[in-house]
Amino acid sequence: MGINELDRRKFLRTSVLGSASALLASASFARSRDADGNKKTDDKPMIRRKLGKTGIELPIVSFGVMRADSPALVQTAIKDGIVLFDTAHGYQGGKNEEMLGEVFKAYPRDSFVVATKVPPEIKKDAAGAFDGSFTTKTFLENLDISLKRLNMDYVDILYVHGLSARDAVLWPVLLDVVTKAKKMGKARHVGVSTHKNEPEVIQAVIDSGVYEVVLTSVNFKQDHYPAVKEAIAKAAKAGIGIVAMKTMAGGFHDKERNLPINCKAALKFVLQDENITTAIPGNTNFDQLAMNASINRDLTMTAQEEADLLVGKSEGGLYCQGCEHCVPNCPKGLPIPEIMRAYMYAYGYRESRQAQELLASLNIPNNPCAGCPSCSAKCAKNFAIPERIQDVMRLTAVPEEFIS
Amino acid sequence: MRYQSICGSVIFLVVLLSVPALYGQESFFPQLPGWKITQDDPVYNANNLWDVIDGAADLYLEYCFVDLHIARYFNMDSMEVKAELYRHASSEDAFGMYAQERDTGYNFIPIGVQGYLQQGVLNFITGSYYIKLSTFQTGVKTNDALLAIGKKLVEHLKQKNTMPRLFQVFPKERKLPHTEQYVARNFLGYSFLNAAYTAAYKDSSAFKIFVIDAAEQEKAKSILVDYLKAIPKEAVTRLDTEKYQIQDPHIGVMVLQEFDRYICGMINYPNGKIRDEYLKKVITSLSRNFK
Repeated sequence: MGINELDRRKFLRTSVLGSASALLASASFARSRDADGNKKTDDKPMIRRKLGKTGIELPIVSFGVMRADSPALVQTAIKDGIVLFDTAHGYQGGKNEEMLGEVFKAYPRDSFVVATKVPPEIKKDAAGAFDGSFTTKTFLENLDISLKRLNMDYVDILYVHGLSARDAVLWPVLLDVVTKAKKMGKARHVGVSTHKNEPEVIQAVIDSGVYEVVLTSVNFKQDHYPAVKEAIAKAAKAGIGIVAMKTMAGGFHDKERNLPINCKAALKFVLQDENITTAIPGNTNFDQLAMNASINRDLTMTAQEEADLLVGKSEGGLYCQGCEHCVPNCPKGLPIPEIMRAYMYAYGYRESRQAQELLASLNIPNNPCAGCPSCSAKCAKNFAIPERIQDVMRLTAVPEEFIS
Repeated sequence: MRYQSICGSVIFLVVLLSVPALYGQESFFPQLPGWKITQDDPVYNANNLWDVIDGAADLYLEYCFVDLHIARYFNMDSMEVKAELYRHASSEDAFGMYAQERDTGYNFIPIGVQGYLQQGVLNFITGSYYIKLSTFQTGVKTNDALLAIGKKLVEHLKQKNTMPRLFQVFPKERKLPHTEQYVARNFLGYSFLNAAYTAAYKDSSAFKIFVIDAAEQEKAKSILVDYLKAIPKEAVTRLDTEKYQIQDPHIGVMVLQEFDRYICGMINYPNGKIRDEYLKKVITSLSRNFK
């Protein structure tokens, strides 16, 4: 890496940090609320969207409730006009739901929307098949526990938590159990949450004819964002309500977590898609809450915000298109596209094992760039080829049992 | 953001330092007579914890989560116990995460630093490990099995089994059991209040005491300035040079006192007498043991 490249990175880092700080400062609690903690009047109307065919209408920014030790955050969010609060059976061993139940005692039941997620417990029977009756029983028991914690007779949205394959979404046991929960009056609407293989899961939700809402991860950094967006459009057309999560893409552009993402810009980016009803960013402090809630009245992306999101792209992204532009210039004839693919497996898909297997199959030395004082191979997408090779090749030295 | 970078560096060091130790050690999970172990699950880290605990992962990351190791123990009675070992960067972080999920009404038992046994579940901490043992089976033998595996893990991991040291400054009188918490970030919902130790008390009414470790005296001063800036001026009463009573619009009545690198405070205390008595005890203990 030359001096110019270092300077450019340093500049980008500084400018992003600067704009992130400015955003936080502008969202300062002291300036956005009066002495009673009420949000100062904002003339712009709240942007609301319909949640599929459920009949529920929501502000575009909701609240992914993350922790139980600050009920004041939830109370402030209610004052800010946020309606949907998203929790889960498993968050904080149930304390998250308990806290929400305690807070909501003070509000009319029809003044807020609560979504919770119950995971399907899986056990195999003696013959090695999935024990459907066990899953049904535990799912309904866990839903009852959640309702008790929430002090409610029903939740507005009940998600099956964390599905990542078509077969799981369409498993008759799950379709029956959510239908049963709805018939029992314990859930007004049912859905699925997913953060892996989203297009496949969303298509299955459409095909199910049972689920009404999908909670999906979607963000500007996803390599497969176009496919997710397309699936979302199809689902919206089919009347499925779409709720977005993981919009901040982990909060950093880089895997070293040095280059913070402009979270407000990332959230706005996702919500530009009108097929998405609302997003559930996790708010852990008042500044963050004020910043996110402000988007409910102003979704316009500034030029600076657009530029901030491009920072990650200028760093090259992860997807190697396999053009082989780099190959002829490598004096060692390294299979660079394959190594870049391994890098993508490791850092994009988080499939370290797959990355390690691919590297092993290439039959190259552990330090393939040794002896080259500088790199003559150039990438059409400006990937930092030698750094990435050096980085991902470390996987070859890790014993297999330590690879996830 | 600075906190996350520090967290990232610490995690890197923990992983790096543990690699040689792991080579000399068979596994994080000890063998037990009569039990077979399988370790087919992947090891999860901060980049893919989502894959196994979904949205709950966010909070673990706030507590400098390093990695998650999973094993399954099987015995002759077809009992299966799932052992999840969450490794954090420090014992404070492990305790903090554990306390976020702990309820004061649980059945606490003496194991590791602290732990509880519920039906089919044994959760506890030992040093920087937060360990969760669970089984679908029920019956008398279940608890015995969980305890046997839990105790063996404590022995095997050879960690220090004491509460985070700063809890020593909290007065014992009227303290409610098992209410200690370590809040790594965003204490009370304020982005500048980090590394807070708290415990709940009950006199004529319930109140909380907290101590924030700002690491440096200058930092403690700047945190206090930030907080006072975030509160309407009319809500702040100066009681002493470094002692303020505040009517926080979100939290309620609060007292704050700066002492060296620490900020001590109380929330919703019943009266001024209790406030002064307890705060004095905390400050005295800090000056004796932590200055």
